[in-house]
Amino acid sequence: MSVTMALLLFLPPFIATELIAALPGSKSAREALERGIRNTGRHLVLWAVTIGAIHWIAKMLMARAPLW
Amino acid sequence: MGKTAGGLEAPPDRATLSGGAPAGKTRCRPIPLGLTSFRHGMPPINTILIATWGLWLVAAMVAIADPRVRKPFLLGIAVPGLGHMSIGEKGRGLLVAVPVLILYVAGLLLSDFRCVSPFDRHPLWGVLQAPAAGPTLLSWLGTRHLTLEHIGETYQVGCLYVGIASLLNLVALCDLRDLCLKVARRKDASA
Repeated sequence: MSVTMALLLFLPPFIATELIAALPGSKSAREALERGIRNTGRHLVLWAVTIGAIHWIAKMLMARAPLW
Repeated sequence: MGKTAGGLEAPPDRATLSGGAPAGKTRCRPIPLGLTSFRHGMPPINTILIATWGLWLVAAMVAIADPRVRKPFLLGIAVPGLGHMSIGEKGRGLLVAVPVLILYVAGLLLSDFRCVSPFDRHPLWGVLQAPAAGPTLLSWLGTRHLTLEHIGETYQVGCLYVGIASLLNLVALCDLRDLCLKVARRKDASA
């Protein structure tokens, strides 16, 4: 499976989780939907930054001292 | 267990694993799956299964015991989102139904309609699929005659999708219970 395919397959459960996790604590469906969409974007950026950082650190370490 | 030329230990041969039977006459001892499987370094699958089914059952009985929650809760288990709709929260019901059902159907498609089989192929996934009992029961009844010839590239992803959809329905059921109690409290206060 290619990386693009894996990333694409990762997105639907991620979005669904964010939408439904926004339900408790929201007064209306509209508020829940807005919160869900906002959180999806925010967490996607956070996730991409974290994975990007781990990838970059791993690449740097591998360039200095290859482990495998 | 011998040492190779590089100094690394070679993995134990099958005879060692199967309890010292001579090589060539390999006889695998079945690994017990109860609490005793701890001794074999395996998770106690049967114990986990029974404990989780018991947990679901107790949680459902606690929810159903309250007459204010009973009907919407049962509807929510049968069809994701229907419980919310039954108490007048149509928007919330749609917000639950659309992602959960899309994810569920996508999971079934990705796994060639073979990932729901709580008592045969996938007892562990079955535990996770229990919170969406309606779709799970329907899929199981509709696909139980199918057999698993080969595992495709997206098979495990499909299992994961269906598991996630069902667990998301559990989150929705918790939200539904809170809503029902809030509505009942409001009614009591106004009476």
